[in-house]
Amino acid sequence: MKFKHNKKRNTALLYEYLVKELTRCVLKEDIVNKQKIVNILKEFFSKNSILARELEIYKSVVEPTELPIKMAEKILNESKKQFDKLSRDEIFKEQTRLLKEISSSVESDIFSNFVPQYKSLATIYQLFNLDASPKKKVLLEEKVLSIMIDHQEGKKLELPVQNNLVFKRFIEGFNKQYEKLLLSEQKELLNKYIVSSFEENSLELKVYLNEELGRIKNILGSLNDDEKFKGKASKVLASVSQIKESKINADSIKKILLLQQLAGEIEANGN
Amino acid sequence: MAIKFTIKEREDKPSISFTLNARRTLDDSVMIFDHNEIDIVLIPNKNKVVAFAKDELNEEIYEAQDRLFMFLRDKGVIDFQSVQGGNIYSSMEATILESKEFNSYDMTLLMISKFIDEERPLMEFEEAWNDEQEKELTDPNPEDSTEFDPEKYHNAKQGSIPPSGQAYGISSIYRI
Repeated sequence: MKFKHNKKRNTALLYEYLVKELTRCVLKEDIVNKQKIVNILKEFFSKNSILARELEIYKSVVEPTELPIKMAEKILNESKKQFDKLSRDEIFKEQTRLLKEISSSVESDIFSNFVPQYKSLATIYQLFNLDASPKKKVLLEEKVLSIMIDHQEGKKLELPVQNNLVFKRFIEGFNKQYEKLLLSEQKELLNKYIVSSFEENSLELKVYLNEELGRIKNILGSLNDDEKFKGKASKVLASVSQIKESKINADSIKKILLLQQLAGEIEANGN
Repeated sequence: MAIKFTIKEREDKPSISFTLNARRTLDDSVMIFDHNEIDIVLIPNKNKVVAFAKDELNEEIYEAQDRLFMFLRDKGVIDFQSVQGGNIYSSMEATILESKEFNSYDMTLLMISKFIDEERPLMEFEEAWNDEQEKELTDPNPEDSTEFDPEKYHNAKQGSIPPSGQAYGISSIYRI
């Protein structure tokens, strides 16, 4: 099923293009063009203007709502009725005036801006404007309804918000379980590792690890004097040196936790 | 966060003030974030300067670390023999020389600030070059771009030959 669609006669798309261009001007600090677009929006999309009323109809269809399918059907029927009441000649004249104003006052090509809802808006335009056979009209209606339902399903995928109480309970549970199992330096490492996920470059963790690995190396190095442990100690020292060959990740943290345990045992037993 | 440092070299001389994008930790270490490639950390209780890469280690980062320690060596604030790779990925460290006449910690901080000033033109050039590259990719000239046409490029089915079709039609069927 292929229908013709003219993006320059789609009021909702014209509005979207203008808003995107306005955003671009604000980011580029292009005050002159920004003001021109604001003036165009004020002139053509002010309340009660014919283009604003048409845009409102598009919005009621394309914007996400948490309504059952039956209600979505009712909204679509009502939108079609309201659209039929609007004068198409008047809309055409206003659009022509708007396009003339855009081409004369806005320097850049606003129609090259990317509009994510392009396909949905084009389908709705076709449904409202196309004089097609009843079968084709019904197929288009089904397509628009599926767009409305898709929006609702997309909204359901949002993750639940974790509040402070959940976080506090989690910390309490963790501390209760690991209070006696972990050494103080292991707790410090875990603390720094967790906090580092909120930091930009986890620099505090890097500084801590740089010193901590140095300390572990010194403790293991002292075992090298003992003939009994010499071979094994050098193997462990080699694995410590491997840590610096890649970025810090969960695996290297697990490895360092084990090394801290070993260093703790060596210290406790006085070598 | 910008921190303003004020250093008095000698009692009979005026104090020197400079501002760095830095953070002071609880153990009095200073983390300096001004450089584009590396983060510099001054650890007074270990008498050390450590430079960490902001991103993956590459030639440019190694060169930046090298330039820093060469600069500090030339200014006489670190022991050049102590410059070595750190214990973690993409780090390099050196020991600060002790002085009876001057405060070595303050002097190292001042020299790091001077190093950042010396590197600033290079960093600004790199930033501008990266911005230009990004602009060329995201907002190309009319010469380097084609008109956006979603109907042409976003169709569910593209082209005239279906990808799942047999390449040689019925010729692959075995007959006796």
